[in-house]
Amino acid sequence: MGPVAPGRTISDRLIQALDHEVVLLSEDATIVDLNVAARKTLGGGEPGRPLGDFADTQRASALMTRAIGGSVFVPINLWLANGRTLKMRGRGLRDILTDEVHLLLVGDQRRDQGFSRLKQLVDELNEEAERRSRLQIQLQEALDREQHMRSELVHRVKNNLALLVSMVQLRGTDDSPEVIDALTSVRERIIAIASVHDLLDQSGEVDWLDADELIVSLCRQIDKSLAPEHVRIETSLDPLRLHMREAVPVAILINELMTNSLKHAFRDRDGGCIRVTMQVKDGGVRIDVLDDGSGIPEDARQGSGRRLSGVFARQLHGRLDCKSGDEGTCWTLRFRPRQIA
Amino acid sequence: MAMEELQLPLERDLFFRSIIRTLAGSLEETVGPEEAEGYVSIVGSEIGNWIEEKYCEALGRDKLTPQEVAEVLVDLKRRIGGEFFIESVDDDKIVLGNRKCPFGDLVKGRPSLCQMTNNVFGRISANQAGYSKVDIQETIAMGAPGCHVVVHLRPEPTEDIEGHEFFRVKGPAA
Repeated sequence: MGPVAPGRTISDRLIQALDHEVVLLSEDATIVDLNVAARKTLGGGEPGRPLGDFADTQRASALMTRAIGGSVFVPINLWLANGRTLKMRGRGLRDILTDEVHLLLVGDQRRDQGFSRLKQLVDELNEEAERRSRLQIQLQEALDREQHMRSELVHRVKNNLALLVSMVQLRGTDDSPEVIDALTSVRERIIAIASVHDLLDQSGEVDWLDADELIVSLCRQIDKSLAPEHVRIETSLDPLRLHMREAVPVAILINELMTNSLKHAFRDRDGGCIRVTMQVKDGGVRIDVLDDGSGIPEDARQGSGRRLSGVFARQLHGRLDCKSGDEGTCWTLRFRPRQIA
Repeated sequence: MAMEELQLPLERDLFFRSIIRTLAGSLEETVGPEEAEGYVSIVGSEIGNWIEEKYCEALGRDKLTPQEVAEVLVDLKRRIGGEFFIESVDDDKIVLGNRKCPFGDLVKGRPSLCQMTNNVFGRISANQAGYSKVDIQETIAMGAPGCHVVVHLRPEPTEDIEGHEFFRVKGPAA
């Protein structure tokens, strides 16, 4: 809107034709001019009458004063006598002929559309967040149920393995030494597997366990059940978390190697030592089972226990090496855990 | 290490500057830069009145010369961390330069924050001179190394000059 001039110019007629309300006020909020749309919305109005006759100007006076002081349009709400709220923009407008400053108000019902849209978006986001939150609770509950069932499963497997060990221990009075030997091997293998489940059950876990704790537990078990008094068992182990899928073959393999040492390495000897070490370096694991016994004769290296050890080494995608001589035997298992905790 | 020993770029001033920057950004994105300007100008105008009142109280008079108005504008910016300086002053206009924005780097990409300067300078100048038009020609916010601001103190008959006008009026609230 340009400078205010007397008479109806083309621009005045244009303003009259606008469907937005246009009101020009003096500094004291008296109507100087208004268009048809404004007259209709206000329910009347003519030059010379106070705007206060049609709207609550007291309520809007602070913003109107801010608006008239500058040429930037600022948002102003007018509370009309008919109860409606008219959203407008207002700015100061200087009459270059008289140097008077007027307040130009222009209706704009879409003024705060951005806020409405934002509110709508926030409401939608809140609903979505709530929906996802409910879903997350359901998923968590399902996860908890599954965890509980798996813990229960570990517990039952452990108990069943313990039952199996007890059954294998029941020997007849006329069992031959070969039968006793075979049953002992089976029993020790079951105990090795049970150690894994025992540890999982104790720690309340279902998948991961501390392999160093497992090996210590296994060595203690073998020491108690198989090792003669003159043979010491020692361990030196780096900490390592292993998934049970890898922990089971590791346990069986160590059990086989130690059982073999105890059976063959210390015959006719006054004392001896089996040492189990585990080193973890650069994502790889090295487990050594050493004894200072009599060594393994070349022709005795392919027994069933050792074949079994080879199978488990392959299951771990690892390598099993053996060095044996007069100083003793050293089995070395190298593998790279496929899953890292 | 204790939490209080952590080296973090977080202190009161930066915290409040970040809040204002984020609010300005939200407003620009929500209602568009032009409509945001309207909201910022309400705040700027209010702050301009308040600052002018404080300087007048401290100086013990209500009327300031254009030179004193220019000094007020530079001093108020200095007090809040800006580095404005006077390039020239006469009865028609005040020309100011600036090397440092009080919002620091946070002003970059947030030109609506310049509306605070625009409105504070415009309000103080118009209250003193009766009229002002603030033309911010270069801004750090838009990537310039400094700001260049011209405050016109008399209306130009042609109204060709860019910028927002400010008038000394009592208004309906008076």
